[in-house]
Amino acid sequence: MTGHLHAPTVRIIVCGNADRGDDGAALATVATLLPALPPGLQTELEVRRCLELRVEDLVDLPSGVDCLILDAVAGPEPGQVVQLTLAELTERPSFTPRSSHELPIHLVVALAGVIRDQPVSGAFIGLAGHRFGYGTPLSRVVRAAMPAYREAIGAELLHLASHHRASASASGAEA
Amino acid sequence: MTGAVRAMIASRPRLGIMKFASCDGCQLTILDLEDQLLDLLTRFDLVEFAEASSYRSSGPFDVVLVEGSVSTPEQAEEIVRIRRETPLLVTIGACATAGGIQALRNWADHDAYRAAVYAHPEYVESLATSTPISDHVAVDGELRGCPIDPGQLLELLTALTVGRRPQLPDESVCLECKRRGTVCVLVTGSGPCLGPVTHTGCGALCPAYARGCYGCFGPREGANGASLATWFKRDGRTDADTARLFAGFTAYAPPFRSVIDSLGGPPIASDQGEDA
Amino acid sequence: MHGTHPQTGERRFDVEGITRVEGEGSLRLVVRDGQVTEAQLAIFEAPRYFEQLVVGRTQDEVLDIVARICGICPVAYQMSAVHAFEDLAGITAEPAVRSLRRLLYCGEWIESHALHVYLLHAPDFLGCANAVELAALDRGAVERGLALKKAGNRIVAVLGGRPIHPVSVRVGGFSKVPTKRELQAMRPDLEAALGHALGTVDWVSTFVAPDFEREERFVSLRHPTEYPMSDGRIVSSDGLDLAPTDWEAAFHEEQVPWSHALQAHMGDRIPYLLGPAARITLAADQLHPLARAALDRIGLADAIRRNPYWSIAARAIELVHAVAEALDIVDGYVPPDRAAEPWKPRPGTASWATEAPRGLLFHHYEVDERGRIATAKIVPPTSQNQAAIEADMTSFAPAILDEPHDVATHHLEQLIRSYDPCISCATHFLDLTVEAAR
Repeated sequence: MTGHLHAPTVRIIVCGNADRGDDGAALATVATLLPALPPGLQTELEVRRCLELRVEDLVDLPSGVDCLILDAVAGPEPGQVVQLTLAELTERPSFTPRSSHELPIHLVVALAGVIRDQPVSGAFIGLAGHRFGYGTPLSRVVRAAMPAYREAIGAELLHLASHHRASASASGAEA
Repeated sequence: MTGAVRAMIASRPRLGIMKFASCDGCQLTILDLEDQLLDLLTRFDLVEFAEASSYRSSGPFDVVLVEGSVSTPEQAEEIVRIRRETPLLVTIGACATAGGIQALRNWADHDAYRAAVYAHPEYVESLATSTPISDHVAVDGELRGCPIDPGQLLELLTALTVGRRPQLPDESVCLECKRRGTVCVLVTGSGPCLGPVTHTGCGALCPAYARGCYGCFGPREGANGASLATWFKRDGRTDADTARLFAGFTAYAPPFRSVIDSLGGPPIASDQGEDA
Repeated sequence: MHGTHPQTGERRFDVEGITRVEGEGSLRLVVRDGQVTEAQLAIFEAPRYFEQLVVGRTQDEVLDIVARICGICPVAYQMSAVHAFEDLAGITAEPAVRSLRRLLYCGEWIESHALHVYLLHAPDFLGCANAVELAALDRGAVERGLALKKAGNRIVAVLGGRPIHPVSVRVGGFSKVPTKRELQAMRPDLEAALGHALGTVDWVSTFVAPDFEREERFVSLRHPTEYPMSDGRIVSSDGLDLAPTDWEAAFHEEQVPWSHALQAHMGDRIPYLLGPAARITLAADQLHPLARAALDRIGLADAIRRNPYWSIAARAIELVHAVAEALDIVDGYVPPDRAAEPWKPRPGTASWATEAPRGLLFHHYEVDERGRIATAKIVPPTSQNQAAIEADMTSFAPAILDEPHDVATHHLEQLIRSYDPCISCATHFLDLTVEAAR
């Protein structure tokens, strides 16, 4: 441990509605993921939950902080994990993130980038589901896929965090 | 996060550890923690006290960790004074939890429990008249546990000094209420509250608006729903009414679900089918 | 996929997405000999899960539950329910509480209308595919919209605890009311918002709308001394006049064959339209003076009535009204003696209609001897509007069939967006199919 203290470098935005079956997959996954992360990594994260992703949730992202957006998606084979950079996401993905309400998520991310004069950098990792009705529990195929989803999220977090450490030490600066 | 705290980040903060409770176990734990927290503690100017008098002569501090509960009038005055001159006050230890004192009183009703759990049963009496720190002053953070988890302490101190919310697993709404200085709605009688078994994340919103938590963020890990259900029934509620309190939007989550099942099921059978 | 089917001569218009309507759904038009013979709109997910979920609950629990029916208009669902319950219990909230409820509703109208005008609808008028392109074209406009939205959210958050799913609305009043100082703290935001709202009116008045006019039957609440929100009588543009509890005396729901949705109809089965255009048409005389003056200044009252695209102006006018009224309430606020009136549950029928941002929202509950819900019926404005939208599609389609396919598609999307349909927290695309059969 370096005892290196600094502000969060990654904002995790967990989207979804636990009332709606597979829509709650990201929420359920994150609940088990966070406690299992290495303590050094935990200090770098800021976690927010959103029922629906809105522009307001991204516009205040400080410069230099990455954003990891997690959500259930519809479209691909249920149980599949999909992953894009946020830059790729704004090009309108082939799948449908579930947590749009005001605007589709790819437009929320793009619009936030315009408003804050800097594209939102980071990644989107989604878990494809198929049962989104009110009052339904998570489907079996989604529950079976949650370990793989958790792994993908953990790996991306490590990647994003180490990226920051690398650039911080490269510039010789303490954040 | 106040200006005083932000200013502190630039310098080397003074950290004081204050013991109110007289239980030996926590003292040893904190001494152990010093080794594990060595790196972090190099960032602080750490002074540790066994006696309030020593503290008074060396204070004030930027961050004070207070262990245990208030059980004498002198301590009650002391904690108010400490709060006034300390930007960050964090309580650590099992005695500081919401509902902990009520539970102890409950145990104190049962002789068998007292003898079995406490080597010195008379100690239970004194604790039954003691009160959590948070009953006297607002606290900025709270770590439960007996003993506390060193990783959680590290996380808490790091978070507090850089100005972000600590990511602590297993954190209930009750902790957020304490941070906000909200009076416990279970105590004021503003209605049943699922806060003790619900994962925080909303900032303990509903109690701040004088009504009970209804479990939006779902049960936290290790939620003891059955125990809370027992408390709700003490107010004269039927099994069915008590089940209904847990049968909200997060009713399917296992801790809530098992409570509902044990009390005879939710008010109606939900529609299991999907809407288009 | 579009094109003409070689055997049947069908013309298909497949729209990949009405991307900016909140939610998902489908529209199918069948055109024969230049006439639209069928318009099937399935865009609304009726809150049936919620109608079941509230059974067996107490009335205060119902308020928590129905707030979650819609992420954009939770206050509306709470207001219709709470007024229904208070009517049954025979209590009336005191004037200060009533004002707070109107303030809460203003907050929701502001946030909902700002969202729709700026992020959903205006891009259509300015040749932008979406709000992102609009922001690139006119950044200040989008920032104005977001500032308005934020002001609306703040009102709801201060009174209700958070901008979505408020927690403080209770039968009899609120669990907690703000102090005068808490409300006054919003004043600078609201003053800025008033400027933005007036700017919105001027901005939309410069837009060019497609030339599509029809006669519409409008329905809304109407009140003798205030712009309609939670109180008044249900009126129509052709003589209807009912108590807000008596919606079922003139309206009924029926299942449509092509989807599981319910549509609402009046006895004569002539469609009716709810929402800002209806309120402006039926109650403009009750607008706040600033809003009334703005409406007179832009001179679009007739256009609002006759052309659905001009609903954007109706929303802009209501933005001015809501902000202006919010300021008045904040300035005149004296905290009530009690946050809520005490009340005793009574068995019986509890029903009421209030004006959600999108129009009349009706609730009906049967309450048992213990004060618990036995049955519930919730009729949102968008489900009531569907028949009118379909009728407008039918009238509109011939005008666009001769246009290039993608232009026609865009115009159909834009028309649907004009009604600001709210699809109950579902997501994403509207799948539009137009089939021309010979």
